[in-house]
Amino acid sequence: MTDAIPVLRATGIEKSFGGRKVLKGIDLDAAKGEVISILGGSGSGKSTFLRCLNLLEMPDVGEISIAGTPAPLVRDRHGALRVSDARALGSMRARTAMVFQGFNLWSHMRVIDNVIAAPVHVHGMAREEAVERAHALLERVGMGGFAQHWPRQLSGGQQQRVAIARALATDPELMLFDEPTSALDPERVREVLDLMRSLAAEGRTMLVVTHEMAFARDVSTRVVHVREGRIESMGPPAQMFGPDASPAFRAFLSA
Amino acid sequence: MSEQDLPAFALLGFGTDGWGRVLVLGAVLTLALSLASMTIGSVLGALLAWARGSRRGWLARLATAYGVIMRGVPELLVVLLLYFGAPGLMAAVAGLFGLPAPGSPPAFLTGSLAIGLVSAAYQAEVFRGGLLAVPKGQVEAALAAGMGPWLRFRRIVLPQVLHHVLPPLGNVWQFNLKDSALVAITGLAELMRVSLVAAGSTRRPFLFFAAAMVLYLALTSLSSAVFRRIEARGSQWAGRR
Repeated sequence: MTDAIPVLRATGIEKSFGGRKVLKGIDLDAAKGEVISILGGSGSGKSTFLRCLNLLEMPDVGEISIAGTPAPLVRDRHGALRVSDARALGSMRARTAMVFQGFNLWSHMRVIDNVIAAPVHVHGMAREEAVERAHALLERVGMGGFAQHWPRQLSGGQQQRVAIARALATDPELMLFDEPTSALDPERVREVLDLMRSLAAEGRTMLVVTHEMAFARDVSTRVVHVREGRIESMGPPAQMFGPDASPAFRAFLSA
Repeated sequence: MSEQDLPAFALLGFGTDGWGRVLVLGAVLTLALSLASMTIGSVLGALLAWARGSRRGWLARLATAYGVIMRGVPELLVVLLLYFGAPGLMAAVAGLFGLPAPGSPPAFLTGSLAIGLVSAAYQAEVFRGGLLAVPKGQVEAALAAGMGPWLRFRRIVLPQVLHHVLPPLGNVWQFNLKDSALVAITGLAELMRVSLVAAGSTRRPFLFFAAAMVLYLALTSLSSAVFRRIEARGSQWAGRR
């Protein structure tokens, strides 16, 4: 049985920065368990699109809903979108999680406190339960021995694995990955990709902006090619990496 | 025996001829004055720092203008303005409401307010720098986790701002403590004032100014030791510095 309500539905997302139109109307649905790789050249708008989905960037036009709940957006009298309900926005974000290129672990908190912060303070989970779960998650991402470390004491790959544990801690319905391996040393990329692979295998719904072609081809259920603020083409990896791929995507791959 | 002939230890002591008690009380009042003005400065300084970053242009400009004025005039002038200007101002305000003019406000109040108003201008700069030093990604991670404004401030921004501002705040505190001596001009019996009185009445200026120096140094070095301890405790996450 398929889930009728998509985990993510984004419709007609447009965004300009200082008069330059970065997103020119993007529609994207994600069904439960889908792993969608978003590929595109630099400046194509792929990261901006991802950041619009949890409203870290405010789109100029468009609609977003997470598991059927529309984002609390209204048009003001100038026609621009704005948040109509800050609490609803908070709870929408709390149902999603984001993994950043620069990790963004809270540097004044130990590893364990990074992982329990959202469960305890946003979701109201009891501290003991959150700590117990956090230890299990750290174990899962291979960081079991590092609960009492400070972020600055960890390598980039280790920080990103903790950041993924932090993202998992709230059991999000949708995980957004914004170039999660782009800031890592080449030898550290693997440990993060392997972890993401295992998340995909357990049925997490993931949107991944990435440059890792092997991940896109082998792990994702769908590949989306963003070019000049639009979805140029998309499809299952077999199609996108096969002979019937769009010329533009093939040009991007060979560039 | 005249006071000029008394040995130094007797003059500085706590006996009947000694000024020790007066000097120590003066130092206590100096400390209280400095704490009061630092607190006023912190509250107003935080508000100014927030106003400086406000999207409302007029508010940001107002806060900037405040800094330019308060940092651009002598502290002594602010002390005098408040001490001698306040009664007139209070009478005018009371007059508006048809009330009788109140008496002069206590020197401690106007003194700590004057030093606090100046301190606020400097502390605003410190807080502003501290706010700008928090990386954007730290706040974005909090936003993405669904934290509301208060939670973000309390759990993410504030601890990091405190880490950045403690060392420069220690500096402001030291200036604050020394500026409190200016309130002597209003007759408040803080350390500077009592050492002036003692020096005048005993005609031993060197002795009493030296004693005041020692007491000021004790206050400044003690408080910087306290600051260093707080800094060390709060900055573990950032490594040594």
